[in-house]
Amino acid sequence: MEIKDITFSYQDKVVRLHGIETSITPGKITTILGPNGSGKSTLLGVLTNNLAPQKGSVILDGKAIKQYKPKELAKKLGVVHQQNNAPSGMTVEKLVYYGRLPHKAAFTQHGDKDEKKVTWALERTGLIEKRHAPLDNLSGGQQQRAWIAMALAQDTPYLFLDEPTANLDIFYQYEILELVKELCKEEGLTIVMVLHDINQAIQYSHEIIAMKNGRIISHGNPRDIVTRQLMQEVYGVNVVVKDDPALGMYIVPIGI
Amino acid sequence: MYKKLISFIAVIGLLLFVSLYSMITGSIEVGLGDLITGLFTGTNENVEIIKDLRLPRIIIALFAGACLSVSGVLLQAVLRNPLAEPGIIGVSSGAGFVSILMITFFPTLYFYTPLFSFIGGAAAFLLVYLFAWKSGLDPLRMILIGVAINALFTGLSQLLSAQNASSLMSGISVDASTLTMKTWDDVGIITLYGTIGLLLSLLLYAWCNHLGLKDKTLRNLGFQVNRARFIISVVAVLLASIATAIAGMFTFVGLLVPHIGRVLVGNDHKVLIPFSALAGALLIVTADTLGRTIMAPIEIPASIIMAVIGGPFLIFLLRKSDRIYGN
Repeated sequence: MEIKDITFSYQDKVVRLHGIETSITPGKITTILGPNGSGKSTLLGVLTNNLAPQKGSVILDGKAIKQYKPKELAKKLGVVHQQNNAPSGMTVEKLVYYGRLPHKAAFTQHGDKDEKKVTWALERTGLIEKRHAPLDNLSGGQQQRAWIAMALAQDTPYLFLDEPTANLDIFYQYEILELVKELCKEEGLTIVMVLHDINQAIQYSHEIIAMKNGRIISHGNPRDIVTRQLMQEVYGVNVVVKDDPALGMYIVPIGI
Repeated sequence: MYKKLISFIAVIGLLLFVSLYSMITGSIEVGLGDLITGLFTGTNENVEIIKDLRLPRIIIALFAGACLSVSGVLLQAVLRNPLAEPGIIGVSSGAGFVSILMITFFPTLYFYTPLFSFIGGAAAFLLVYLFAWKSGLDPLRMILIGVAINALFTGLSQLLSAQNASSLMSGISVDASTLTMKTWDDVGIITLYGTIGLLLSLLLYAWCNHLGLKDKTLRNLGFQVNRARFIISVVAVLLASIATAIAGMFTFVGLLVPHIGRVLVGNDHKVLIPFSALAGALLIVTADTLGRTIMAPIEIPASIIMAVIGGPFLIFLLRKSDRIYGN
């Protein structure tokens, strides 16, 4: 995925993204980091065709995403948004079946292939036991996995996650991150996500895009780009960068 | 599952019972047997009167109830707002106003009332949509704007009817609805357009279900949200306008019936739409029958009866169940 010279502003005309130019490496986990208002969620919105940039384009498999037909694009990229809601009483299985929507002609029923994909997505996310449970009865972590399962049933090579760990207890945060890691490794998915926690980003990403004020400050392997200077520049926080042979690299914020 | 089936059977049973009872009761009374033989042979004078005066009224009540209720279901889905209803957000009053306006100035175009009604309803809906849209539809803002649009069109209609308090707008009453003086021509119009609208809404059930998810989620599933919204809105406005054009203003049905439906059969539009059609038909035909019998020979408008029995019933159901749309 190529991102070419993206400039974006909402109706208020304040420029949120300034000429963003980068690319997403296939088959890897890329995490977008940055403080509030840095434009990371906006960038994710542009990459998933939810926001139309004023300038520039996102090229996916040789074609600009805005030139795709809606269903064709939905077969290429799946998205798990930050705040989701479903009508009350909807079961996990019904929700996951929504992932089959782009593969279905209007007014037709589900086929064997849909059923197989849905079962696979439920197995992958550990929700097979819960398939008939109403979504409202699930814990926050399980609900998040149900939305991921829906995106998996979409059967796309790209998966976008907007703050998938937000509002979850730490156990469930790691559960989601481990799932993301497995999906990349075992299913070969290209994953792009927005995270808040810098250490989680270092630990689980192949690449980090660090943003501030609508610009990319640095993009690369966490080991290469996460430095004291970068953290100071992006977050304005003083950190110590540690590298432990057993634990890998991590940072400790020590003040501002 | 069991509850749904029982609800359907109960509504269908009551619907048949009330319709038949309504046919044989009133200022002229006939037995059920006489009614049936009379309808087929055309020899019973009383049955002929019932056929000319009472039967059209019953059929119109049934269709008006079904159309308004389903219109409410569709608007609630499209606007993701449990309070959306053709009466409250001004679709019905817009439809009523344009009909009255056209008939006042061009009485010869009476036959085109449904068309004017549709134009008025669509205009009101469009106004609500445009004014309420502010990078998304805020539910509260939308209802407030709907109330304002409704007040505007109701006021304009009253202005017109005050100005020429004549018999010109025989078909349309401004605020309350009585179903008197209905002819078989009216029946023809409401059954034709009503059936089309109801069949279309049955086809649209899956889209209505989809709209339970957020726009951005649907967009990423390749679903064309705005196209679906537009088509569902057109059907909703068609249903509300045709009911208003023929039966007059019935506020509250489109709110009451879908909510009763959600409590009894759930949020799945595949069952909610047909159930609301049946329950809406039942509600208005019951209201109309009561309205013309309990204080005979004085007639109480069906819309008044409906509000009086419907309101407490809705409160009762909501108290029993916490299942309100969207929560």
